[in-house]
Amino acid sequence: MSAADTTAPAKVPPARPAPPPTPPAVTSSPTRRLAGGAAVPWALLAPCLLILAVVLGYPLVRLATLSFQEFGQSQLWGFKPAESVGFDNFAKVLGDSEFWAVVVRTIVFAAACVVFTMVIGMAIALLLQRVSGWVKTLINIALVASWGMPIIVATTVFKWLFDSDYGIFNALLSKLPGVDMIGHNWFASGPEGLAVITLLVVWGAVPFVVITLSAGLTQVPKELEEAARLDGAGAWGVFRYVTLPILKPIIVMLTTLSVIWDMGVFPQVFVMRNGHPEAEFQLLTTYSYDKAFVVNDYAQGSAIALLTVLLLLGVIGVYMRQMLKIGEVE
Amino acid sequence: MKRKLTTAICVAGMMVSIAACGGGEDKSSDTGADTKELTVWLTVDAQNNWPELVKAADTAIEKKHPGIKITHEYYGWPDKNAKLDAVLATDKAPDVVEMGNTEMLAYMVKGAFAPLDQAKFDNSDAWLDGLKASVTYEGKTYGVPYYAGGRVANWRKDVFAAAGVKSPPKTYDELTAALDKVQKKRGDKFSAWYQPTRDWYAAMSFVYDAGGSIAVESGGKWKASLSSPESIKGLNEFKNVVDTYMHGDKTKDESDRYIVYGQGKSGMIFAPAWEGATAAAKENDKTGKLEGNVENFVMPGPSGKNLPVFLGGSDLAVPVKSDAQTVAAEWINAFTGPAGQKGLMEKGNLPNNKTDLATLKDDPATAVPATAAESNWFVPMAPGWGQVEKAQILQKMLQSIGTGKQSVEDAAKEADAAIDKVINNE
Repeated sequence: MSAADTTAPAKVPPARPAPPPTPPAVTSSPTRRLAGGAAVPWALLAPCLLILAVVLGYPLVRLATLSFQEFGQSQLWGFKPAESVGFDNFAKVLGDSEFWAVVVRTIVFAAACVVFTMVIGMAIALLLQRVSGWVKTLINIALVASWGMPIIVATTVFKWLFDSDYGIFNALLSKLPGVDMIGHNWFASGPEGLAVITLLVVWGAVPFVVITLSAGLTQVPKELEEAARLDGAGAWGVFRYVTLPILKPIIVMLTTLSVIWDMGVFPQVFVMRNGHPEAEFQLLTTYSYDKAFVVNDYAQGSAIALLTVLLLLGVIGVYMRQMLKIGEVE
Repeated sequence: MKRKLTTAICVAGMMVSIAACGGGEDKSSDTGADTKELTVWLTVDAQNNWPELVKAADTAIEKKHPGIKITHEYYGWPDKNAKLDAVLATDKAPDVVEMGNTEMLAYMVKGAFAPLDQAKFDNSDAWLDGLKASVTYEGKTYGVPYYAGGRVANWRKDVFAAAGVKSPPKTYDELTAALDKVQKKRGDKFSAWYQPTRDWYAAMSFVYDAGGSIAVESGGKWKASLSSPESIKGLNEFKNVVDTYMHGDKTKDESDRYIVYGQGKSGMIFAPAWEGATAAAKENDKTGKLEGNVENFVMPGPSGKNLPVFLGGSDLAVPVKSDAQTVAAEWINAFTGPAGQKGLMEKGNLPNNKTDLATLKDDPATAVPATAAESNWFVPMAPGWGQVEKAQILQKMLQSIGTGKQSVEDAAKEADAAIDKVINNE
């Protein structure tokens, strides 16, 4: 998109200055400047593009080629040539019922994470508008602190919070009358364990959403809200018919980003399950890791990763469309 | 304004997602390129339990090759091989690696290790048969046995004495009767026998004791047999132990067993021979009651015989990509030679050779592990066995059984299917 935008104006001017008889020095100088101008953005972008090509492009190409080859330990160590096997890896993966169970689990898990993140994030953002200055500062500090915590550290903390023997969460729950949760193991069953992991993911994702949405909320014109109120709208009405439509582009953006991130959750599950997630905890990311690095079938691991990318492509499409639309309006 | 903000979010979002995509396996930075440097990978067992033996081997090599720099890296069992696989793909492989004897075959088959001259190692003519087999492939030697370990029961004399049991049980019925007494006396926050659910070495002992097996070979092909009636019987015995006497987290493995035992939460463990002493060591004995109170005894099995124990052990190998192979072999010999074996035996391990083993049974301090090891089992020597271990198929099955999520039959059937998928893969 940027290539078309920047080169178009450079070609228009030379046609215009032709009719009036002006000194050649004047006409040539803007032309030269503009011609050079077309290359400058690319020159400035070059280092960044080069890094992107190396860091993102190479692994992607490698991933794609791997998924069409037979590639195990012998090939990794260079003792055997990697032979192409066409779509064999994909056929194997797609024919495995476990893969489909993992796909469904991943989608449900990601959906739960996204919904909770957005709803809680919106609630806190709205709350932030109504509290006094120092409370706002305190909440913001808490948000940034939890946002800034490294995932591995946060996961370890949650692991201890929910530990079956020493976990504070079980101890607190047991304080409730009639509840005895001491020794309860949250990770003995998949759904319960994934619920804890959802909590961890949402806890880590909410701050970004809150901060972004509060920034967006400051852009909602006060006059519009007032007018709506004069027309008899209640708090919900104002939110539904004034605030939400104005925030929509931000919300769409945040949701698509959240989907992309939550489909890619890896360390939370991996660390929580000590590097060996049970079958009921496998998400697409950990499943692909398992295939590639645990069973040493790097090709099948790549095929699963590639299928994950395809699955995400739809979401990424929404994201790109939104981004381009904003570019056009600008 | 609003548009600018959204665009800013897009950019910020993209940046974060790129940052989130980054990271991954960090490449090892060891440089064992010339013979001035030697990189040795051992497991944490050596680091925690016999660091002085590593030092002694280093000193011997440094004397022979003045100025050599020896680097040690220590790994836990679960993540060691993934790391090794990655490093073997580069040209900076370590010069010596410790391999579990069940892990050797997969690497030998693929040619990852350099052949070694057996004659150059002390005691090599008397290596234990099981360990020798684990380092031999198509008549060539690709590793050196390091030590073996049988498993024994270790109990707290004070706890059992308080429940009226004075001498170590000789039969399985005596054992369960004693455990019942302790369990009743101490209540259900205490594990009369702390037996981690995922500890497959212990579970498979019950399977082999009942006449079952993990997998059987016929016509060069392996087939999992955990769901055979005999294996199921053994798994049920194991489940019974976990259900009745184990009152801890049922999703844990055996890696922190000595810590739990040291915290005074248990009356007995079934573990490698050195674990009881490690639990009673000052830094692990949190109650102060273990010291002088723990004792090893040979584990009786439900079948009436001694429970067959997993004859685990370690081998040391030299990766074919090492460029310090000669010195690496010298280091291995210094480490596994007579002095090293003596040190390892003092820690409760079994030596790598028959000559030393014979002396162990005469010494009351080491007679128990040496006797226990006489009745033993070993994993199927199938090409894909390494994958079965790495995928933790047995551990997952045991966890399902222990937590009651699946019946023994269902879990065993599922494990069989998973094992059959990989066990014949090269």
